[in-house]
Amino acid sequence: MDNTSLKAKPPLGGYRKTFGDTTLQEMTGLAIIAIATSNGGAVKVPGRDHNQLAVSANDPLDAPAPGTSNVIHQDQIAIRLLSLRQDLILAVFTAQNNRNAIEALRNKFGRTIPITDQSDAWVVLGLSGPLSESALERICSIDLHQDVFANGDLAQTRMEHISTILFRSGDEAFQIFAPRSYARSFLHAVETSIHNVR
Amino acid sequence: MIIDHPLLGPRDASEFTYLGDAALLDRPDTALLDFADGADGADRADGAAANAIRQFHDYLYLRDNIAGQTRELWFHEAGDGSWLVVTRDTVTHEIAKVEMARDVALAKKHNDEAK
Repeated sequence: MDNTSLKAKPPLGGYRKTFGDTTLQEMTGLAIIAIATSNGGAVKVPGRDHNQLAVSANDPLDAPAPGTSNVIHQDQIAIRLLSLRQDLILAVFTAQNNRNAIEALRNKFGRTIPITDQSDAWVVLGLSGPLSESALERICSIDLHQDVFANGDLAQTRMEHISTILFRSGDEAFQIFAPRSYARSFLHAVETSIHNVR
Repeated sequence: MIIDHPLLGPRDASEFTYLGDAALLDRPDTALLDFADGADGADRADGAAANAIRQFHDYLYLRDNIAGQTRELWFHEAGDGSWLVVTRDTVTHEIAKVEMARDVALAKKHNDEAK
């Protein structure tokens, strides 16, 4: 058993498919870390006592407001911070040099901030190309127009009854996070929707 | 119906579940209740409100059925898991105001303490 090493298996085996100029692919090799910021990204809110703290857009720690994201850099690592709600941020980065990335998060949010590794809990689909917006708008109720849902914005919502996080990574590019156990059903939903708008 | 979430912007009502009247936030202080004592209105030496049981009964069971503006609790189940207080007209379905229930509850606590 000495020579045995464990290798993570992506939920869809590294799926990739093109539909004309539109590409749907599984994003693999991502580290996904949940950060509970309830006492970390703290600001004083008028009319509240010191114990009533909340993360807000003018947070001194520069945590993104709910529904938006930003990127922090440290030691050539780019960490995307996706703010899901007032007290929960997902940090997403390429899984390498993870210790340095965790250190960067601790430097930003404090040594005692609760962080949870969720890397293998999600399946992430990357959808890019001219059909991506029209395919997604058929299966989610979020207004995807770029004036409203801009690059870097995200929404925690539901698609085909599956709880998802939808992130706009570019003009015609999205990343969609779904629970790993839904991987195949979720892929089927997105594939079907692309077929329907072709 | 679209609910304009104070933090996340407009979201479809299908992302939410409805609980009921926002009066549920105004739970009488259970510290003042003594359910063993059924004597409603009797003089109490321990500081309990004389009508404590009635207050709790009313809180649990009595609701106005308004044709017009109501304040309701909605839960953002498919989104960020927040509770909202939605001021909605039951005749027109027009939504006048959406607040975080947390803010409403904290403001109430703040007011009560200031009294």
